[in-house]
Amino acid sequence: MLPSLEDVRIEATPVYIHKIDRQTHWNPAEKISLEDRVQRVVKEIFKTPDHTYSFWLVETLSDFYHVAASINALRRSPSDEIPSIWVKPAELSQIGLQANRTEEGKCLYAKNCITILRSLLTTPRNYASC
Amino acid sequence: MSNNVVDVQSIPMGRESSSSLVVFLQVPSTFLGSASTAKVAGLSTTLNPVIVEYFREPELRPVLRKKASLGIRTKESVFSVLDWSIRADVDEAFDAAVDLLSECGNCLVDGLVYLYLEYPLKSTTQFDLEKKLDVLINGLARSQQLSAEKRLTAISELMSSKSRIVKAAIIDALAMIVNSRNKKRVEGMLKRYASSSEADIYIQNYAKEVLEDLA
Repeated sequence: MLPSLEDVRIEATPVYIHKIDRQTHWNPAEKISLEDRVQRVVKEIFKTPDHTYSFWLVETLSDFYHVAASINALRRSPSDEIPSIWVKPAELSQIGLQANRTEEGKCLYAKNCITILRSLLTTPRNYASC
Repeated sequence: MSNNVVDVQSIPMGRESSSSLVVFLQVPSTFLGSASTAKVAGLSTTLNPVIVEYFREPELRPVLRKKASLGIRTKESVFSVLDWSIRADVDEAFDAAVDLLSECGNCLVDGLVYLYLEYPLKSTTQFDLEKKLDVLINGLARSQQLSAEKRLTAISELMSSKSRIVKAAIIDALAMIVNSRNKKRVEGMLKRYASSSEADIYIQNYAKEVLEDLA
């Protein structure tokens, strides 16, 4: 049975999904200061030399399936799990990032990853959702 | 669940396939670095050009994967793939390396044992070493060339690791390797991580989730 948005802990739409390599990249250590965590997450997740990143818009359950299929399209096993983070559009605008829909080759330019992460990581989190 | 701004989860994939809804697409990376030689734990190894092309051309990976894997027969060649896996300038380097290694067999076990027990720390940082172990454990767990029992035995060698990255990789691997014959053994390994003797609460809960899924 295909999962619902609730099954993958997405509370409400629309959201932007950003794929990460491993869940431990977002949760790198048990006892770690916010600043250290920000640095580790930047090093692991927001690391491309040109500071551009893919965020996939999910407005409906169908969008979600399309995104998941697209992310895994080139994988050896298309059923591989996809660790990801999700961000609400309002949260992007709060930190001054403008979302622009593109067809190909252009991405969100996020030069100051530390600003983004500090904002995201200081928000209360439910452990079970990680 | 409440006020989370950002959530992390795994998306269990369905079988449905469809065209993508793309909001932002990643700019193809500028691929840098030498295609000729790489240093592997003090050894120089010649990089197979097919492996180089595999990492440089993300869209060609599905067609190059099998061919590239034929060049991976020794632990040194495994390490050259691991070097690619942690490069920031390679698109989806982690997934690409895991998929490539999953086409391989015994050299993964040789590489894993060497990397965990004998790799000279002077030639890398502890952090990079753990990231490479993560990739290698994931690749080995998916290997179809190795029996489930062989994969399980190799991974059990790493159970003493104190690293969260390695522990989480082992838990994921156990979830992939489990079958009706080894279920008791896998559950026993998971219970070690899920017990109160595991100091890392994140790992404890992670293992509990997998155990619940297996029940």
